[in-house]
Amino acid sequence: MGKMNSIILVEDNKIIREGIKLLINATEDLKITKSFINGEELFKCISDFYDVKAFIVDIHLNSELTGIDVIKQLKLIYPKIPSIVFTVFEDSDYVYEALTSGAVGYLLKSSPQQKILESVRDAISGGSPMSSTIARKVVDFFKKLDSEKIINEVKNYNLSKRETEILDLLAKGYRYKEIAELLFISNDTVRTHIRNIYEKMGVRSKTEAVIKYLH
Amino acid sequence: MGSIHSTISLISSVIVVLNWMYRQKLAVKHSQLDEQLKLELERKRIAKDLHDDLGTGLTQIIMLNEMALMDLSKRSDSTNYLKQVSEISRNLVSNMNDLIWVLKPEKESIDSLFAILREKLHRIFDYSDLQLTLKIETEQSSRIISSAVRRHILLLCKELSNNTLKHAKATQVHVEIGIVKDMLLLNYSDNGIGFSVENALGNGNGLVSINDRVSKLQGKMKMISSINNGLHVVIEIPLHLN
Repeated sequence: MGKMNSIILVEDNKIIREGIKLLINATEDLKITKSFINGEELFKCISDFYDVKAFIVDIHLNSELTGIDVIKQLKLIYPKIPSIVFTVFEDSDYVYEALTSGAVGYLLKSSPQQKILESVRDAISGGSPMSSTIARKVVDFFKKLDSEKIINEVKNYNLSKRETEILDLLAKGYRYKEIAELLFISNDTVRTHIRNIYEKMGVRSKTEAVIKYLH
Repeated sequence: MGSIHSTISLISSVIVVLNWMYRQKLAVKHSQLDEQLKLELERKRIAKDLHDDLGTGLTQIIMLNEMALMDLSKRSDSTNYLKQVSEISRNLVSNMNDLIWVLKPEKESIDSLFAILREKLHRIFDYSDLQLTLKIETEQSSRIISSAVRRHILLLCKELSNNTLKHAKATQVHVEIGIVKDMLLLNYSDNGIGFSVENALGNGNGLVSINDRVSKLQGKMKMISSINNGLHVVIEIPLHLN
């Protein structure tokens, strides 16, 4: 069998926490090695996470630190480990906010088991999901930045032509498979582009905040 | 001298009146904005409540079910019931997600409705044996539509699809949507077992609510079906009236 991928879970609801642990730990390749009820508890043991492959973080944590705060901090401490937001609704404003804060994907709590596992494996292997609603917000995000003329300062984090094409198709409701066919590229290439878009958005929103602060 | 005086007093009273009118207008605008803001806050509150209470509650039900399923032997009759509980709960969560979207008060372009339709329709039929062909004409799609049109069209498409999925025993579905002049046109057909339209519209099922939605939007609908002849629906919604 392949390597065991270690995952850290932060979820305050006991039933959901136990349910997801049971589901993930029943696989041969994924394992929740530690779970926490909030960010405060997580950050007490933050130094032990070298070989972790992903963080799954509930979006509404019932404590001082929100899921978004936790993701922001994790991104600073472990920029290479992907964080996935755990949410009930796909199109909530919180999901979008989490994605601009460094999350590279989201996991729908109510998805069928197979789909949850697929999404986790996808996030670990470099893919990212993006619904049409989120794609629209991402398009607006980059448009707004461009109009604010801070492009030069963060040139490397502008969208490439290909990324823009993919984003436009996603915003129209096309699926990865269809986009791959339309653009004559592989499914994997589409996935990588989307992951890169999220990465750029994360960097840009951070830069934007810094630039606003300096001015 | 006197006439200059009276002219000045006339001008100043006109200014006072204009100023007053302007303030009145501003006040009305303010109260309208207040109203909008209140509505938006209310929507956000409902969305949050749906998420926190209902969403989390349903998710817990799903998780408990799945845990029970993993625990039970595969042959137990109860597994079937539990699977249905999970499926129903999942549909509820997904419908709530749609509700939050359609409750958004902002006007949006037809583009965004079409994108959601593309996504939803594929998702509905992806897990079935039905083959979906979807044709979306994007002409005029940057046109703004009201939230009522958005809501009714999305729900109408879902109701038609669910009807096909549950009752039609069809193998193919064809959906065509687009705008011609001031009309939103929806063409929906399946190759299922069909039904008597008269009976269906008389007995209070999902098709009645489709009829309802069309008349709320002052549109027209033609539903053609008979036993063993599939279903063909043509809907026209006048956008300038909505």
